[in-house]
Amino acid sequence: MRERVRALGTGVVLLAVVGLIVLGLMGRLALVAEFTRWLLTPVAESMSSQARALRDRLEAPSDLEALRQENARLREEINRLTVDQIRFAEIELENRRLRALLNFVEAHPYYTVRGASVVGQVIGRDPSVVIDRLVLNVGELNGIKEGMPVVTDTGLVGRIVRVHKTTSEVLPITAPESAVNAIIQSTRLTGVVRGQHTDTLILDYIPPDMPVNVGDLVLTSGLGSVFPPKIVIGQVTAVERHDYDMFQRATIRPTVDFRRLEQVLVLVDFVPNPEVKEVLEGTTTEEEAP
Amino acid sequence: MRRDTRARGLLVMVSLGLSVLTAVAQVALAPWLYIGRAMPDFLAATTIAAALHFGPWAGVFWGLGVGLLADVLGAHPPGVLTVPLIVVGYAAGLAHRLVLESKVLVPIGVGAIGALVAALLQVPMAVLWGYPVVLPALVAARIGPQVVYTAAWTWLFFLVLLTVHRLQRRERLQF
Repeated sequence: MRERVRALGTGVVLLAVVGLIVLGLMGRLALVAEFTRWLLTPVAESMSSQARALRDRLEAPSDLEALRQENARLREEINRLTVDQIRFAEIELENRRLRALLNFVEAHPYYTVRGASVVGQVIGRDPSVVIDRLVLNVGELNGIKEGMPVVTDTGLVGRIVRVHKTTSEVLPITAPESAVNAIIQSTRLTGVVRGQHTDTLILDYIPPDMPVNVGDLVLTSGLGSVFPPKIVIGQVTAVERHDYDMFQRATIRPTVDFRRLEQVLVLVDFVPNPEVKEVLEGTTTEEEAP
Repeated sequence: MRRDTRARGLLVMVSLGLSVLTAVAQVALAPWLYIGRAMPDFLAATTIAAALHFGPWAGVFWGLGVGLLADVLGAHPPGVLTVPLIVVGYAAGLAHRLVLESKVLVPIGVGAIGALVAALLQVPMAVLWGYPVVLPALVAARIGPQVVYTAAWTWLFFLVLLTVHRLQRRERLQF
């Protein structure tokens, strides 16, 4: 009897696991997952905000309550302004450089961030230790779409990779599958920033003979039409140069504190310039592009 | 007989509620309970605690329940958490009898080994689904610190189970 119950139990477990994986492969789990998320998101949201409040309370003296509220309000304001601020500062630099070099009357940045944004709250993280994803409390109903960049007042967070009705998932730049085309602000050297599960990032494919200094600021280059240009990624903390390597590598400390991430901005009106995209994809020549 | 069925029904309902709570807590609460780089793995901790207290099959079913929920709630492909948790649930349950020898060292030890195995088993699952993994960095930055932290949580959950069990037994004796 006991053997039969055990065999039945094993059968049920195996069937459930295989069924789950097969349904997942067929894409039939989406509805169940959507419903479960819809049902449990408010619980997760409330649990997350309670935990965050508790954490704040433990880490800050209680008589600083008013200061914290003020701080939160100011942070929200900074969130709204920072994207524009970074862009303006960079555009000014860019204008000066281009006018001097090429006598450009107007600079044409590849992508425009018009300032429109949706403020989302990080309500959770993927429970897997291997897969890096952040869960936001804004989704399809808030106009969120796949590919939209996610930033904070301090810099780049990542991009939206999946959208549900009321939530969305962000691939953070710390994930190993994330690759961001980047530029070092002072020297204009380009490279690719990759995540590696840790608190630091790697800036790879830097030309070997060019100077890279500790403390240099790294921004998005905008190449590849995945992210808008000039969003702060981080600061160089170490540089690796080997005679046998074709490229230099730099370690970057992201300006965003991923452990304490609360409110983020989703740049909902970031649209890649179609003409430039065509040039990048090789469907038209650069001469044809304006 | 009817009383038994009712008690079992109640147990299933309570277990379902607790498994939902555990999965949601892993998504929403655990990220805020970090100490340094370590974040607790409630899924592994509760699975191991249940397995140590009730035996391998309880571990398997609890692992299946919370794993399924976390897979559905999470942003990853199905099975990444369920399969490791079922394996760890069963294996930890085999140490069920050892708990009689030490109620501190065994839960902490099995908790640490179980959390390590549960995390490492996620690696091939993620790779199978096409996710890149930088194993040395992952182990050093995440899995290592998490194992120690999760072992402590396993012991805590085990103590809670033990206390509830004792209270139930005392209540039964009073009646």
